Amino acid sequence: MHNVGRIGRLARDMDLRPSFDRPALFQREAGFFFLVRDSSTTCLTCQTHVPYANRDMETWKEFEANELTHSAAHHLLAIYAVGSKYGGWARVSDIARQLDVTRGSVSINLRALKKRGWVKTDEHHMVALSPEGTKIVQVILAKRVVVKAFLVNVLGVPEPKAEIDSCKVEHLLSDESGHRLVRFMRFLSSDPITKKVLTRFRTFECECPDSRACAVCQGRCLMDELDRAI
Amino acid sequence: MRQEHVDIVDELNRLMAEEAEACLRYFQLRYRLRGIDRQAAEEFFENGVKETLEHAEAIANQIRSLGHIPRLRIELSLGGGPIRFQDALAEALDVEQQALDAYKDFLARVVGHPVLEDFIRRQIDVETEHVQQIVETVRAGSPLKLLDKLNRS
Repeated sequence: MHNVGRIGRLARDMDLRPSFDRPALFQREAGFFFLVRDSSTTCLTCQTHVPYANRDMETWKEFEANELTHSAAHHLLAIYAVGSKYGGWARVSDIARQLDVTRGSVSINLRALKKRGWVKTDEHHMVALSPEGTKIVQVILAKRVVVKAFLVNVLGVPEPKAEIDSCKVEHLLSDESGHRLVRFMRFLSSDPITKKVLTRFRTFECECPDSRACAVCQGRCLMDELDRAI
Repeated sequence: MRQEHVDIVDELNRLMAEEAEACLRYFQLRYRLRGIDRQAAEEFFENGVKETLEHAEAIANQIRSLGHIPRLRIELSLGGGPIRFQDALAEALDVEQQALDAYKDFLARVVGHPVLEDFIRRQIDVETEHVQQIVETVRAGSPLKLLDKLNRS
């Protein structure tokens, strides 16, 4: 999830909405904050510029349109985990226990997964992943592994935190970004020079210039803003 | 305290959560209902709210009689748009069936217990009847028949 800086929080508190009449204001949707300037939109965290005319393709809408919700992803993973011990089949009660939710809740959520053809059930109310569901689980797990490896091995994030963060993004990361991340990790481990770079990065002290202007932050100190968000 | 005793209380807490969550589901489903049978269907879910709450309360009392305080853990976020009675009923059937299965699973653990066995058997009878009523209504396709039956019982 994006961290929201001072401007984002201000916009959230003011519940600002987009308007074509004013030159710059903020748009709040689905927990993301965008600075809207004339005919373009900038995600405050990603720094991505989106032409306002193409608002249908804005990032937050992609998240909203993502048919694999966080809950659905976890249900599929739970079926996979429980089912792997019993030939692929899982009981609703075991899925509920695995997810620490009620059986009723699992049962209702399974309806949506069944509708999409991701799971199948038998006459004994046993649940299993369909080939499509299995494929989704494998993709999610692959993304989780590579994101976690990136956070731990490259950024040096502690493993428990990396586990939680990779779980949050595993089903939201695009396939393309997943592929590139794998390539990047392979690149890092394949070359002695990149290994040295990584070692140097781990000892790198991030000191911001007094002017608060650097190549990364471009006029706003992201470090300051992230510090305030904690 | 014996582990078996703690496990039984944990299971009772889970059963109570099933009932309490079903209560909230029925409460919300009532307001999502659309269609010509809405009024009669609303009454069905009103009864559902009352009964599931009564069941949750009965389980809470059992937990208290075992010398524990009930712990309620529910993770629930209910969205969704308007819903037809038949679809709402299908959801209710899922929930009731799961509650019934949970009671049945639990029964094996409390066979021989002086109070709990009898309590769980009664709950199974009630839930079995509920499931049967809903199945019949799904087949009949009308909430009025279900209400008629509920009012008579």
